[in-house]
Amino acid sequence: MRVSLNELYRLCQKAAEGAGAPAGLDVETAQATVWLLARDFPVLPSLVTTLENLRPQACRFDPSALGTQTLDVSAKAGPLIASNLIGLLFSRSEQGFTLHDLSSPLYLLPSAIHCVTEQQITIKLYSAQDETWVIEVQPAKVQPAEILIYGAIDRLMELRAARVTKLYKGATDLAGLTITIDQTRLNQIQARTLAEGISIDPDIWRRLQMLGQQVLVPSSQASRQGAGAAASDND
Amino acid sequence: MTAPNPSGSTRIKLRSPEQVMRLKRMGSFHASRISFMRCLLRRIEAENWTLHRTQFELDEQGYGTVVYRVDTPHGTCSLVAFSHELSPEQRTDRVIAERWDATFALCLGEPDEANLARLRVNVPKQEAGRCSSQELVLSRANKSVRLFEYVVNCLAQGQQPNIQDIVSVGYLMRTTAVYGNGKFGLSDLANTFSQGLFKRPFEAEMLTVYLIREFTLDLVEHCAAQRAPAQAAKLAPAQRRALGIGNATGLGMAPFLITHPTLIHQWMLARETAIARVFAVAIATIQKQNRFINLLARAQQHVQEWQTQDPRQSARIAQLQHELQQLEAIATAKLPQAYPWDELAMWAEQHSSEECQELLNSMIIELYGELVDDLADTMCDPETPPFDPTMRLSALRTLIEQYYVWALDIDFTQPHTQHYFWYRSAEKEEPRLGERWHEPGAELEMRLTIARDVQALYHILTQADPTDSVAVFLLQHPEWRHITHRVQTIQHYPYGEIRENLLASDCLPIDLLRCKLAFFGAIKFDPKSDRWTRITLYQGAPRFAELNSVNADDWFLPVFKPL
Repeated sequence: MRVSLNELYRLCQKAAEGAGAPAGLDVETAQATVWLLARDFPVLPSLVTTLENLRPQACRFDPSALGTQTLDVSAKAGPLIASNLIGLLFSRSEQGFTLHDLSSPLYLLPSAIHCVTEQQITIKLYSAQDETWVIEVQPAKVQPAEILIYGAIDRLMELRAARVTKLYKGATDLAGLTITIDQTRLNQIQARTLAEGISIDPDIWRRLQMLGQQVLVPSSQASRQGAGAAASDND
Repeated sequence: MTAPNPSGSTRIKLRSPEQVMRLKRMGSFHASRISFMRCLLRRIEAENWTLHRTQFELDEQGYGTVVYRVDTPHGTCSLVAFSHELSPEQRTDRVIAERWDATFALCLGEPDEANLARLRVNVPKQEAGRCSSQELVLSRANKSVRLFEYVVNCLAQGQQPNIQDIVSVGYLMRTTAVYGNGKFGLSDLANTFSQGLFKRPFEAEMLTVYLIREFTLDLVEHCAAQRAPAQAAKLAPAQRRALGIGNATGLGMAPFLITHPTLIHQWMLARETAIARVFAVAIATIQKQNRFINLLARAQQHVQEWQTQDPRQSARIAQLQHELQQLEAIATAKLPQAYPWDELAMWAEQHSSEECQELLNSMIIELYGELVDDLADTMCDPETPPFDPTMRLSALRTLIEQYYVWALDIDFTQPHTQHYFWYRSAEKEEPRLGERWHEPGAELEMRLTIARDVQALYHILTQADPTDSVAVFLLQHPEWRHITHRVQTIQHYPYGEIRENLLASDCLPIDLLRCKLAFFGAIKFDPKSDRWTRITLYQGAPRFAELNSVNADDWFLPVFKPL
């Protein structure tokens, strides 16, 4: 089924809210989902699974964990914590830090692109099979920032979790990787999806709707009164 | 805050957000020359858009299909209108309606037969159908049956309907929804803007309603001609002008003013800048003074013709009438010589209601199109400033103390301060207002709880390490990201925050609705409760073919009885 980007955003936000995502993270996760899907990154199935299994502590960190160079995020909801992780990178004086077992690592991209204004950041991903990708998020004269991706793009699209994720402020060694997708190509894909909408698996859509229904309340008679036109308001 | 001022004067400053962003004032706004409908019609005239009725297939009862094509220098769009048979039992304005007298889609280009066939299946279903990215706006309307029949009967007898009878209703049809921005598969707003035809907020929606008005006028003349081919008359210009499009607006529109702070800031800033520019005029020419006096007379009659049965609004109208008489006495005696508009506004601030003050503001900016019309292009949603995760918690506290002292002063332990909760209904996902202490569901309330959330965040911050960054704080307390982001945003967009507790027992949602509708250009607010209102759009406006006539833009505060 074809849906517009705004329909997708609204349902993803409601689904995240209905699943219990903290206020604000539901909005940013929905925005990030639309950003990624508009550029053909197929993140929706993993998002739905994450939301259906969301636990209360999946977005929260203990203070003692935050002072280290390495964070174990295996028990965390990757799509929902991505924006806060990017924020942590900017707020720390160190050059970067390492994450272990980050699910849905691609959610780091849209958060990074809206935060980068002056200094490049780099995301290095290692799969369980030791495949490597490097994603550079570079400041642009006209915001938002731009993205360059190095590594096998088709297998990056399939990546559900990165065994190791390294976040850096600045550039890093590209280790013989070649660029596989750049901002021009991403913009072309985005223009196409903006014009055509996005194709969604109906079952995925149904699961998102079920999550979204958790935020709805049956109308009471009292709140219906005076809320809008009644049968007798025709003229 | 100081307004950029083409006249160079730095005397006048913008009214503060603390003064303007109060519900009682926002609920007193009137349409103005920078309302969206006015801006659209000026744009149509300036760019020489043309309208062609390319298809007109209605049967003898007025059911069928009509297509209007609009050609602009930036491309073409079309309104496709389907007119349906509808029994009185089926006719309802409620959101649960499944059938309507007419349904509409505004499309890019001109639809071919295949697309028309697709639209014919889907558009009448409205929410239950699907649109494509070729469709920009989806809408529907119901007849004002009494007035529609009356007008058809008059025209069929070769006579003109009585103006007073028309004005008492104000429309042949009223829209019950106008959807855009990707709903039900429609074109996303970014896509709509990228096509080049539309560049301002709600411009496509305003054009849709304007073309629906054309349709209703064509439809009523067609029905009359079918009834009496030999003698039916067409509507005279005065009768056509008196007919706008009705609308019923309820709580569905209310959350928009809270969930779009940067956009609302732009709208408010444009309006306040317009006011400030005119206040900065040091000397009013005789021409402007005479025009103002004429407008004042028109305003008095317009207000006299403003009918409502709502007791609160009726009382406000009665007071407004009295205050306009006082203004007239001042203006006709002698306007202040120096900075006359600023002086008049100061008088109004001290001696009259917000309703009068804001009508006066609309009137004075009406005089100076050359100073304010450019502000129409400043009302789009700006880029939201990046979230600053490096901000220290001490700085975040300072921001709250600077912009949210009104929220910190509320005692949320008092039941009346949390009397209401906003929720989304299971039936139609429409916003509703529940009573917290008497109804279930408050645990699922919508995030219109800005004042309470800011106060709670502030309390948490007083116990946190002030040298910590926002990033570290939010990793431990992710539930505060929403309100933290909002506080950071409002420092750049201060007109984006309503300085009121929307949960309080004295909150009147109608004030939110009226504010947004005034920006659209609506008039004749007719509240039916404190949660929904009838309005009229484009009443008094020239028809498309009249837009290049002299004084076509002069339809502010339309009147229909002889002065």
